[in-house]
Parts: sequence; structure tokens; C-alpha cells
Amino acid sequence: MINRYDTFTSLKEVVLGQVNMSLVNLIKDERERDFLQAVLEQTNDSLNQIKKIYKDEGIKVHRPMMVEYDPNVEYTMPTFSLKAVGNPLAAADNFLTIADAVIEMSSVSEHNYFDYVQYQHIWRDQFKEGSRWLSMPRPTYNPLDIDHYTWRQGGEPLADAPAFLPCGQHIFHQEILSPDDVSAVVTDTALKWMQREFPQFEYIPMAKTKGHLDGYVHIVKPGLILSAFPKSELHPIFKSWEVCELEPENYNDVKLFTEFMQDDDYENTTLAVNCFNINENKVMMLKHVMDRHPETMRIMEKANVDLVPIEYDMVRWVNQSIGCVNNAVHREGGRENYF
Amino acid sequence: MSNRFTLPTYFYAKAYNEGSDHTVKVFLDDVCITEQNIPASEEQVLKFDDIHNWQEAGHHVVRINWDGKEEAENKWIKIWRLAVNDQMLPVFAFRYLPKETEFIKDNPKLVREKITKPGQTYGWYGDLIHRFSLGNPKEIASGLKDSPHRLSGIVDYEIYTDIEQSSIVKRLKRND
Repeated sequence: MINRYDTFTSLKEVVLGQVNMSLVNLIKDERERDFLQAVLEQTNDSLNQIKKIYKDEGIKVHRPMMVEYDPNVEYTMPTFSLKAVGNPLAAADNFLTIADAVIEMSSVSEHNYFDYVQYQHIWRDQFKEGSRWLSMPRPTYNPLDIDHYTWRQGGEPLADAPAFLPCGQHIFHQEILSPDDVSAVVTDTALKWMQREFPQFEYIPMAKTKGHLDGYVHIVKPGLILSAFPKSELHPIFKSWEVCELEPENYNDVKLFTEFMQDDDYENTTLAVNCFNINENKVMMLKHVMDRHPETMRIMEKANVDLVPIEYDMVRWVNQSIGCVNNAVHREGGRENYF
Repeated sequence: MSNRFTLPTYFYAKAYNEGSDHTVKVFLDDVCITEQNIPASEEQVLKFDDIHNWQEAGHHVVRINWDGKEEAENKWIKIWRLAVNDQMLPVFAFRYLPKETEFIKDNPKLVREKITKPGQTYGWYGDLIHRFSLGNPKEIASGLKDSPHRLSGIVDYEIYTDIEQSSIVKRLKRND
């Protein structure tokens, strides 16, 4: 049964993404196919680490059902078609679990459109147990409706689930800046839809965010937040909280992190904050982030938070970190006021 | 003919081979923009800083082909910068496709480790490929949905024809 109001209370049930190896056959060049296979196999190793942790913790795990790649099949809608159903790695991207409901989101990207077929068995079972099962209005992605700059703002209700970050009775959401904000992962229509469907929450925009919120912040527990922004740039609601800053870097200085690896890219470094709680005192985090940020580790230790390192170096290629591949179905917490 | 796809393109690398003459070719899509024959034991800078006509929106490829007369233990190519329309493409994200040699065939575990975590220094002859999508936001989004790489789960990098659409941290600082 779905119960989700936050990112930190004790986890009871979760959806863990899956790697669909058959999709390597989309790649024609043999050497590139070998490369992709190596990336996906190592990604799968990381998922298996996480699966074992859940088993040890007694957490119930659901997995998506993959749609095998078939070169003779094309998935077609009136305004677009896809060669395959995408890899169901990012279990959290297209499904927002909130309160006692799951919302099948209308992604900002067409290529996620058919993702729901890989997860429907999970939500069907949750529905049978009494959960609510909702879907955002289906978008058309009609290219005739959209022009050069306002393509995401033509009235279509589009949102990725990580555009929203629940914390008790509050929901933080990506800031909607202007119609030409190309990084938007939530449109104004989608935000209004959420607010009408879930009026029991207070909605707070998170300034300067231009993508999934889990790439910017992670609420570790009440009073402690990991953030890619300094405290001064966070919403004043966090003024009494401890802010553990993992600032974004840029492409300018190439610094090798290990013999094989460097961690100088913007996406990866912001993904440093992308963690997943087992409970308020136990958090899964990328191992290479832990190795690289000893100061963060000290703050977490002081806050009585145990960090569980996950070896997941392929995050640089798949750009789906720990918080993306896990979707909490049931956490202990309710609609509390944590501020 | 100039159009909005005629864009500044920047590439900077260094190559060295202690024991053999070697050749580096850089291709932008199918166009070879530079071919340098480098004598053994000389460190050489490879630089391209010019306008290139990428022709159209959609998927594009930068390919570096590196080969030599003989194998040598101490040889490398190190890539420092790659930018299109003054937007940097991360140098760690080259797909490393080594030339099939006996060593490569005999060391699959090492090869797998290196191709998935390449860093910026490459020690085996072969191809280095960087893929990106070019255009305005609508063109990029439209192209990405057809991308086999994206569908399979790999990041596609984006280069905007209007630089104002790009993230500030990705913009090239020429004085660095």
C-alpha cells in the first residue's frame, strides 16, 4: 500500500529500476554495442548491490517488467513514434508516489511515453491493496502546437516526477521561470494540475532549479539537507536547518579522480546529492562521492547518519543516480510539518 | 554557405608515442578536419579552432582516429577540450573503441574497465567518438526521441545553436 510523504522516513516498500540488456541491439556499430553492454552490465551490478541491501533490511522490492527490443516493432502515437520502449532504469522519473497515490506522470520527453507498460503490474497490485492510481492528462507532444521557444509551455501538462520533492505537508517543486525555460521538467499547467489534485499540500518553488530536484538537494532528515546551493540561496524555510553543501563544479578544470575516472562534470557533481534513504539514519550514497567529500561525511557522522556506499561509477554514462533508480512506495512518515 | 549551423568548433589535445611514428585524424561527422603525422618521441599539440558547417540539426559525431606504425608501451593521446558553438562537451565522455590487437583480445577485463571509465588519457590506438545533438530545444527534443543511445539509457549531450539556451557551466572560457 502506497504511503509516501517524504524522502527520509523508514522505507518499507520500493521500486528498483532494471536494466534491459536487449536494448544494446539498437546500436548498429559492434564496438559501440560492446561499450554499451559493458556500461549496462556494470549498472546492473550496482542495482544488484542495492537489491542485496534491501534484502538485508527486510524491505519489499518491486521490479519493472522489461519490454524486449524487437527491431520489427515500432511504437506509434499520432505525433511521434519510437523504436523501442526505453530502459526502465529510472524507476522514479515517471511515477510520483505521493500520499496514498501513484501518479503516472506525463514526461517532458516523448521517449518516456510508453514507460508505464513496464510498471503497470506494480501499480495494479498497489491499487488492489487500496492505493489510489492516477494518471496525468495524456500529452499530445504535437509539434504543430509548439514553436521554437515555447514548446513546453503550449498548454501541455508535462512533468517529470523529480520536479516535485515532498516533505511532510510541503511539496517543493522546480521553479518555473519563463516560457522559454528549456530546462523545465514541469510546465505551469502540470503544476496547476498537481495543486488541484493534491490541495492538502503547501507548494514551494525551489529557486534556481533547472531540472530534477534530486540533482540539487536531498532532504536527509528533518533539520539536515544536502544541497548543491549555499544556504543563502535555498528557500528561507530552511533557515534553521543544517545545510551540507556539495557545490556544483564545471567543465573547466579536468582533475582525475582515480586512474580511470574523473569527476569534473556538472551533471555528476550535482548528482552527488542524489542519495536514497533507508531510514532517517541510514542513507545510500555514491561511493566515489563519499571518497571525494570527507567534510560531508563528517557532517553526516555528526548527525548520526550512517552512509552506505554504492559502487556505481556508470552514473556518468546513464545519468541516473541512486535517487533516480529507486522509487519509494511506502515510507513510515505522514503529512507532518517538519518546519 | 553560412547558416545557423555554421558554428565555432574547438578541439585541443596532445599526443605522444615514444617508440613509433603515429597519425591522428579528427573527423567532424564524415569530414576530416585535420590529419597529423607525428614523429616518434615528440609530444605534439593537436588543435582545431575554426568555424565548421554542421549542416543541419540532429545527431552529430566527433571522431578521433589514432594509429601508428608499431605498438609502443609509452604512448598516449590526452584530450583537453572539445567545444561546439562555445559549449563544452565533457572530455571524459568519449566512447573509447580500441583497435583490435592481440593485447586487446587477451585482456577483456582491463579493456572493459578502461572503456567505461576512460578519463581523458587514452593509451591504445583506435577510435574515440563523441556524440551530441545539435539544434534549438525543439529540434534537440525531437531528435532525442529517435536516439538509440538515449532509448538504451545512455546520456546524449546537447549543443544549442543559440548559446543563451545552454547552461552557463558548459560554456567555453577561451582563456583557460
